Amino acid sequence: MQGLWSRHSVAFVLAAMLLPVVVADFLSRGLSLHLLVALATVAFWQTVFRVKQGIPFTASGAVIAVSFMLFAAGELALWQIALSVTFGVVLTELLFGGWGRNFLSAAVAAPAFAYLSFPDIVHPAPVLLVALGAGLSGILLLALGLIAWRILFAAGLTTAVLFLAGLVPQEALGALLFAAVFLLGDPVAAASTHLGRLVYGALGAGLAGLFLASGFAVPQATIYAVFLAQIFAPLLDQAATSVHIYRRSNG
Amino acid sequence: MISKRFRRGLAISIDGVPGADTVVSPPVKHVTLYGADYRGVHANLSVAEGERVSVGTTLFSDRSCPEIKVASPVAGRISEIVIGARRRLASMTIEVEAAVPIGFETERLNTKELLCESGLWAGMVARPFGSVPDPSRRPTALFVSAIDTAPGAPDPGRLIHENDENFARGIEALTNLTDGPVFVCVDQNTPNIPENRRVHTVAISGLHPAGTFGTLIDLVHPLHSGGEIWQIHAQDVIAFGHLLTTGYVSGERIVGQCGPGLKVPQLVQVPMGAHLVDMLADNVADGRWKAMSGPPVGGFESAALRRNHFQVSVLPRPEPTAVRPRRWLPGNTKPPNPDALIPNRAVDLALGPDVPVVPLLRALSVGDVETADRLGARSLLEEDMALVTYAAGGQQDFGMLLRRVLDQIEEAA
Repeated sequence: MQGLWSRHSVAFVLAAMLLPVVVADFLSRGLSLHLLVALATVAFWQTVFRVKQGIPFTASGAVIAVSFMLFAAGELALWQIALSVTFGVVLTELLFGGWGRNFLSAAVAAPAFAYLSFPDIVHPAPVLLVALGAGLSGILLLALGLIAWRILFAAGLTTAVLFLAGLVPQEALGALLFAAVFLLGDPVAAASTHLGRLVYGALGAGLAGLFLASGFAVPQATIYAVFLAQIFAPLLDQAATSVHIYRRSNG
Repeated sequence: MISKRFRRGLAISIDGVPGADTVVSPPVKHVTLYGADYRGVHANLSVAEGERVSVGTTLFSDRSCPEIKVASPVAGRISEIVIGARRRLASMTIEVEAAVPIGFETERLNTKELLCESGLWAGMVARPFGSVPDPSRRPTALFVSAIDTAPGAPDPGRLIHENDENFARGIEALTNLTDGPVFVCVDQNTPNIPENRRVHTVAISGLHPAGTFGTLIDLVHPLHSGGEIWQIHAQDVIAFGHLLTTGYVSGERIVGQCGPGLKVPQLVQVPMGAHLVDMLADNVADGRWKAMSGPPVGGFESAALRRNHFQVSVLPRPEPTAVRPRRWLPGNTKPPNPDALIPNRAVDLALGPDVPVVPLLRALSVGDVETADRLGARSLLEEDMALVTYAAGGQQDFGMLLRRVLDQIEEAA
């Protein structure tokens, strides 16, 4: 029988699930030049690495472009967009062997590079309508089993607590929801054990709340939080498997 | 009776599931045994091409452990012996003819000798590592599987119902092989099997792979370091009971034919190793199909039925994809790398034993023997990985990757 979820089919579904988000952004801000330049950059590097290294194309590159459009929407020059996306896609994804073999998500690294390299530029927070699109996609992805419910559950619970405590402003919700579904929930870079996923989700959301409360702008707080959580994901998995093995060997 | 529920698993539907009503016996002209089905057995041939054999004649035995013998399931003439890489037996084909079966002296031989002489021993598999068990050892537990949760699989419970005396007799004799318990794993609706201090019935419910040995062993009596567990299918136990009762070994098996490519999905009675062409005869519908030995997920294309397969699947054969000329990529483009694993919920649910799935699969794909061993690779065999391979898209064969790792662990042990 044919396989169930190949890399190709997962990437295709993820890319399709971006549509509600793109439409939501288009309706409120019009066509984004960032999106087009980022898409072109990703396509260029994927082609280079396809030819030179044999890394197959993947539609998941669209996540990088949409993430960049939402989180680095400030007045960047075209070369600045291209450079940031290049950094994200090449250094965190293609050099490791392409999507599926990376340990950090390129969709997080690209905006992070833009913030660090061009700190003067102010980036607006994603509009609230994006939350609606991301929520819709999130439900569908959960139903298909392409994001781990434990991550979303832990992140959602933590965010809800922080929101009620007044640490998370309302205008951050669009950014947080998109980040939870497509960045924190990225199947490749996220933690992959049951316990690891719960801690990872809570860590990502907790860090976002911490950064927001300490005065970071919404895009920066979100991206840095996911970035840090993903760096910790392998460690969390390692700890979770150790707990699992200990529990099994001690009855 | 112990009741266990398997909480993971995948629901896989398939067209063409055989009913349990009738069993037909299509005429089988050829039978092939494969050396690869008997892991760890280095074949020392006892017969030559052209020789005539009966049901129960020893065909080959193990070089280092001559008690392990593989017997002929049919009477006939050896028509072909193929020696493969490293002088190992690849396959042996027998042309079926009518002849008198060999009788065994069931009174004189003990259980172990009788199993070995009749070739039924070679149907057992030892965990960890999956070789034919060494007769000089005693396992910590013995598992008998009378449940099959694979899509389209026939229900072994009905078979036990019809052969309950032989089955009970076989189980009783098997307790001589181990000092530990014998677990008989059954479906919820299998008839009662006599239990005693040594024989325990385990009723398993849940989705596939609930009924595979890997899952059963992990749920009921997990493998601990130093221990060894042997597994045997219900049909082999019935054949052993039959041998104890009558003195004659039967090479016949009840096999389920399933899949959308069949005219009539049905149960057939054929000898082990029967050629699929004979078995399916004119039961295949028009169109492009492939006949596989084994279940739809985890089976593979083979000329004949494999030793531990009780199912034949006829699935659509994909159209050969024409090699498209690369219209815009430059000529020196590298061929694409194999696809990476993308974790998803189906993968998490597809493995029977309770092992961190994604970390294990990542360790297997990079050949990290130590991590794979630490995570519990020893509790698995290739057959347990079939559903994971399917859930992960089918591009990487995790069964093969696991085998490589197991071979290295075994070598180091």
